[in-house]
Amino acid sequence: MRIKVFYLCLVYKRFWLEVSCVSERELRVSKIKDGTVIDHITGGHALDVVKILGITGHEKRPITVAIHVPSKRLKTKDIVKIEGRELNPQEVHKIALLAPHATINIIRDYKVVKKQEVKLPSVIDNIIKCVNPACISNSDEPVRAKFYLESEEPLVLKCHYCGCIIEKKDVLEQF
Amino acid sequence: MLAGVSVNFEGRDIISIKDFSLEEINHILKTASNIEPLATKGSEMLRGKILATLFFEPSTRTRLSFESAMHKLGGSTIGFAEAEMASVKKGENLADTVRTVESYADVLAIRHPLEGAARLAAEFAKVPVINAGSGAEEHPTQALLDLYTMKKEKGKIDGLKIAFVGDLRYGRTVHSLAYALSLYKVELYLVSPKTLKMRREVLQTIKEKIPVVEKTTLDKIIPLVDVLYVTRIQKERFPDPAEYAKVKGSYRIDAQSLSEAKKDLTILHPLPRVDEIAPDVDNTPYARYFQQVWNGIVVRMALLALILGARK
Repeated sequence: MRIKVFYLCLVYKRFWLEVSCVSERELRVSKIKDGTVIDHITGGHALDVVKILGITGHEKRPITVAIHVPSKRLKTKDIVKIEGRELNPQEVHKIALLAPHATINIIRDYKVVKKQEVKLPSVIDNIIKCVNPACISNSDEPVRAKFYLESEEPLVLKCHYCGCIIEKKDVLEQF
Repeated sequence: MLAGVSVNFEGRDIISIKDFSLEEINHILKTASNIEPLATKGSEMLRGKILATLFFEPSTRTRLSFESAMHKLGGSTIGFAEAEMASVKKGENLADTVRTVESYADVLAIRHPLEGAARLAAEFAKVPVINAGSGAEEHPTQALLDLYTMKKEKGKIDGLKIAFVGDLRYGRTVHSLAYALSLYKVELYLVSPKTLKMRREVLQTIKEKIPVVEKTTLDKIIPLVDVLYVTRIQKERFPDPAEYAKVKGSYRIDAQSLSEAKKDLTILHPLPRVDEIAPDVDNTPYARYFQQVWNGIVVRMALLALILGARK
């Protein structure tokens, strides 16, 4: 079966959309030498992950984004490959907010040296801010914003301090 | 008087009504009922204990009610009535204020304009903290006194049809009361302008537990309900004065509007009122909002006695 795969590639400030007709077995996403591959992102959410990681397209490193790639586990999935950057735990937690099924692969010299499935903790501490401007966590008090996970998909978080509900769109607006 | 207590409240914070089970709320109401005679004759139950009232926002009823409750139980009070009088004026944050004042008092009652302020204060304080109103978020002791009033007036809470009228978005009393009522078997009618609808997080919680009907007019509501809980449109919470002007005076209850009300309708209001209840309602048998004020002292006496571990 021949299918269409859409690639968004960000390389050295150049941005283009490549439409390619390939088979499932000929997925044309090249390997990276060193960096991070974020796999099993829920289909259609790769650009949200790119945004939450603060990738603007002005980085001088290759970044590959594949959207709606066929997947046995998720039917369709997105993939983000970042050359020359290993994600830290804080960034992994951020990804979990938007892509709770994602897998993080750390690549060194073309080999996977660490594979980690993201997991959204029941308490999200100091990653995002409360959207309620009247919340004490947005004041000058010595306090960190803290949220309780109410639902993973769709994402629903509740502020520990003011009880305000935070959804995915609220998270995306912060990055 | 407090003997036979199965629920231990000693040293406990009162931050959100959501932190309490139905059994615990009923225990507070029962304790209030037992303690009510002392509101008239007085007691030395809390002699030597000190309540600090830290009010960063103006208040008449709540602060005086707490202070009166403490005095009636033989305790004493210290505190300030507005942020201008506190070190916050010099730039001190709430966390530092709390860690200072806890050395002077056995329990703190805090009112603050920011939501979540009482929870933060409780995280820093070693002594119990009572939320006396946190921005537009919650006012748990008001909810308890509202429940106490309903129980006293109606003999029960289960089975009541209750309407909230007015500002359900910024009104902290209705948020706490809605959470509390959702633990009972009641029907709740929420009447407000579209822009002042009940907060989403409150609706989400209460709709899972009790029948809730949202309306924008009072049509056909008054004859239906047992309790009409009227609130003020809170000018001070509106970011835009023009938005306030649009909804000001949306609902006005007067004697005429109550012509089809049930004979035993109870009208409550957390006060202060502006023009949402006309003075001609005050002399009707429906008006119970000034009894609410008295019940506030009684419930706060019960809370102080429970939190401070009074035994007699």
